Amino acid sequence: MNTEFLKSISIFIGHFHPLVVHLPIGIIFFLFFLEVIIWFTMNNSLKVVRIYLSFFSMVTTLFGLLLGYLLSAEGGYDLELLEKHEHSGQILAGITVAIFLINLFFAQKVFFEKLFKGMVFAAVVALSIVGHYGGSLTHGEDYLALSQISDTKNAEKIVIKDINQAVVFSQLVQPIINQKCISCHNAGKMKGGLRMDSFEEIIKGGENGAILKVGNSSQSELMKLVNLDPSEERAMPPKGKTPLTSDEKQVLAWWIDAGATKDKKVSELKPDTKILALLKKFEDGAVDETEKLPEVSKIEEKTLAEISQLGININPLSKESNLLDVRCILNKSSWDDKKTASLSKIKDNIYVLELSQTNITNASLKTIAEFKNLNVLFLQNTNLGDSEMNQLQKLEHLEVLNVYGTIITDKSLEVFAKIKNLKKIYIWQTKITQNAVEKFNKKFPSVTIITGSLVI
Amino acid sequence: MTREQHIQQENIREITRRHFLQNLSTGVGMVALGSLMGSCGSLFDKNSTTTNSLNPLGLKNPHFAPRAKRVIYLHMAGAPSQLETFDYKPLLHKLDGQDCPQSFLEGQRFAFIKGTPKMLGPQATFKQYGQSGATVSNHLPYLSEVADDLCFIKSMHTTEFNHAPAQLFMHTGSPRLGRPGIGSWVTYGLGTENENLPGFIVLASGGKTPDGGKSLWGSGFLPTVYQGIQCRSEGDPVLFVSDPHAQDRTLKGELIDAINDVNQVHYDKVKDPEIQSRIAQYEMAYKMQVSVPETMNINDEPAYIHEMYGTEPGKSSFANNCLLARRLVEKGVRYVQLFHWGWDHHGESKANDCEDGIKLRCKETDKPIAALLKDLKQRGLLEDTLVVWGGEFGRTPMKESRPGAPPDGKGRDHNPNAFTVWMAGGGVKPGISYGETDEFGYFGIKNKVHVHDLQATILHQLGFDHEKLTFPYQGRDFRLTDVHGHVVHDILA
Ligand code: HEC
Repeated sequence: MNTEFLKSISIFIGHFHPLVVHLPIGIIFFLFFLEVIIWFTMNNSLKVVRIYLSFFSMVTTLFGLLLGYLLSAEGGYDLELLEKHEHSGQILAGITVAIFLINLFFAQKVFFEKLFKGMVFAAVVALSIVGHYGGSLTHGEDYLALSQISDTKNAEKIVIKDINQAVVFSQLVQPIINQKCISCHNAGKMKGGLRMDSFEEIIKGGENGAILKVGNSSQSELMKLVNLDPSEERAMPPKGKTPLTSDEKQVLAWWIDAGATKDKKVSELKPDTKILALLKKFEDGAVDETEKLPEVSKIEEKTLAEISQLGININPLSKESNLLDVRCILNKSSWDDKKTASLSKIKDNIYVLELSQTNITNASLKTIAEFKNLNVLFLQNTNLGDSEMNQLQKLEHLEVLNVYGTIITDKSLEVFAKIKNLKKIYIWQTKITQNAVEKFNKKFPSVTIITGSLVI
Repeated sequence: MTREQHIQQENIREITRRHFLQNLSTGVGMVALGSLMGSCGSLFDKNSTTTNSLNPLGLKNPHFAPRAKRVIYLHMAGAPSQLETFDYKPLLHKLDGQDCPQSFLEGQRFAFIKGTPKMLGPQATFKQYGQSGATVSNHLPYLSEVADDLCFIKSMHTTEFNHAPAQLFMHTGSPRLGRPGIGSWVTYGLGTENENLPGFIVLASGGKTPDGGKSLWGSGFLPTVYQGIQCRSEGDPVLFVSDPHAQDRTLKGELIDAINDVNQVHYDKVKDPEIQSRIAQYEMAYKMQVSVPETMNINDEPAYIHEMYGTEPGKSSFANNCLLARRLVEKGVRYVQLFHWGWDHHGESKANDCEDGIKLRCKETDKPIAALLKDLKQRGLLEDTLVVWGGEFGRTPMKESRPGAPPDGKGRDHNPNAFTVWMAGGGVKPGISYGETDEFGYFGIKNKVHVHDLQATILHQLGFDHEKLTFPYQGRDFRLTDVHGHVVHDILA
């Protein structure tokens, strides 16, 4: 067996250190509380467990210490902190051994009670110190600092008003790194010998040297690692952490290609239109154009309840939106034009409307045409014909229209051509002719007509 | 207060108070802690799905605007071979009959393979179909007609290599018993659109229920109203809901009202959320007595529909279940789960190998599935219904060699490292193939998609952030994808 292998085994065992150290924490605190209870209740029968608890606190502390040595071989920690953690750990181990020994040999002595209590107290103090340094090693030194908490909050709130004026490194690159990388690459925890908490540190690189090849992102170690499949061993951030989004990767790559500058603004680096469009997404208040839903005001619960009484399901589209998804599912045959008219109260909020198999006539179309934010409309299997269909042209946001199983003819198809944003029309089992469909397809290739596999 | 918050608060209050009081003699401090923790209920605000009534099946809002409102999940239990269906590997023709390289076996665990197996060439011929050029085997002539509507994921992988745990993993996100199925999560998150039908319905065919058993559609730690209801396409659709002979329906209604009143009184006293479930279930069962037989009766479908699906009313078949699935989603059922057993082609007999056996299963399912897709499409249902097809894992490019197996048997062993799943509708990009396996179809090599990723993606299409659809149980928030899963954005339209 080679030493490399032995080393990795010992580091593997060392990884149990954070688990094992919680045993002495629990036991020592329990020992402490036991003393408090004995003090108050003067219940001497509790004293018998002291020796066992002392024994376990000693064994687990020593075991934790041993695993700690194994783990530290992995490296990548702040040496100064590590040393403090180690020394205080040794002191704690000494105290627990002493507690056990005095229990073993001096339990009958007069000075024992006081000495024992004193030692347990010392153990709790030492434990707190070890724990603090240990915590600083894993979570970073300022994990507990109040200033840090408000700092990160502020950091997240970097506001970019005009993307052209944004400083590329500090306003775009560093925030991405802070979010996805910094937890393992900081002053306290330098995985791979790499710190990423400042421009200089990033340029300096890690234990294998520079991680950037300025001007050439694809040859940069950093980009190679973030571009690996998340399941790969070397991928950054490692498996289980949230990977960079493709937008974030593109920003990093562009920054490196454009010279990995520290103080330059976006406009100074002359992004092409593609990159600029990408960067725009990082502007404050920017939303993905494709996902943007119309903003409408909230409808009162009371109004919604009243309308649902008519026999229709009304549900907000999502938690983020006041738009409504409105569907008649039960007792469809009792839904008529009058009931459709009562939907006018919520006309701006209706985004999806389903009135299939209901008793509506073409008179309903006039009401529906006022639902200006309507996106999806299901009217299949109703008695609708061609009249008033032209009303639907007003619906600028309508993308999907389902009118299968109605008696509409080619005339309606001509009307549909004028609905600005229409993408799909379902016309199975209508009177629309194959000929008209073919003509339509040629003229409006951006609209898909679903005729169904069986035209009867 | 919303119902979830209500349940959670009550739960916490009851558990903490009772348990701490009973188990610890320290008393007062713990009661204080108990009520403190109870008041943490407000913590759940950000997670719980809001609902405006105490009805557990009432409509609720997803986290963001959904692309799909319903799901039909076609599970081919036993795990179909990707190498005879969609993942064509010409190199295997050449390697057919040769010893499998040792490197294939190192570090791998198999259900049955012992010693050094031989490689097995593809037992089907392949062609490309449609504008998308999707590769489909000759066993699936009907499906190849709708290939342009499908989105293939060729690089699926799982962690389990035996049927029951792998099926549980696929549906509940954990290989062990006790977690809710996706359908339960979905009805918990969205409620049901049709209050006369359960939100989650299961239909099984193929002569055997899947190895994972009823736990595949159990509600786990979620309230039991969210559990899947198994319906049969032969005889009584749901067992034990029809009335005894000559019982009057009005009387029955009054009886149930009275029982519910008593239950409500008891609920007010002890606040066990399962009592709310029980009340909802009594009401549901009463409604189902009428709504289920009506929905499950496929006699009123026109002849061309029966012809298209290949259905035979009154029989129990996969085709009937496909037609039922369409009827159910048409009525607003949230999650329809189909199982078809019999894809475990180990090759111990002709009838169960990757040549004839798989051909038979393909034949049983090909026409109905293609018909289902066409039918959903022409009705506009594919717009917001997500269809998912797949098994619980894939099969090896090696021939199975287990002691006592016929030497010329053409079977394949279980392979958790690569399999194909396809999706259609529900806002998934049609006509694409995502991910790749190596030249043997043994391992994924590009854009690998894990089971938890698939689950995250399904929930995403329904409007959920899979990390936020949670339920507190035994002191922590549980979710379908445990602590894993990434939405596969590349396949979303
Ligand atoms: C969960 C902790 C963790 C996170 C988060 C993390 N890393 Fe790492 N990183 C490591 C470890 C551990 C190593 C050492 C790996 C090794 O030596 O094989 C490493 C090494 C590296 C190296 C190689 C350093 C060298 O010189 O060898 C680079 C570059 C790197 N990380 C970049 C990143 C980037 C960029 C991110 C954010 C997108 C990131 N890391 C996030 C743990 C992490």
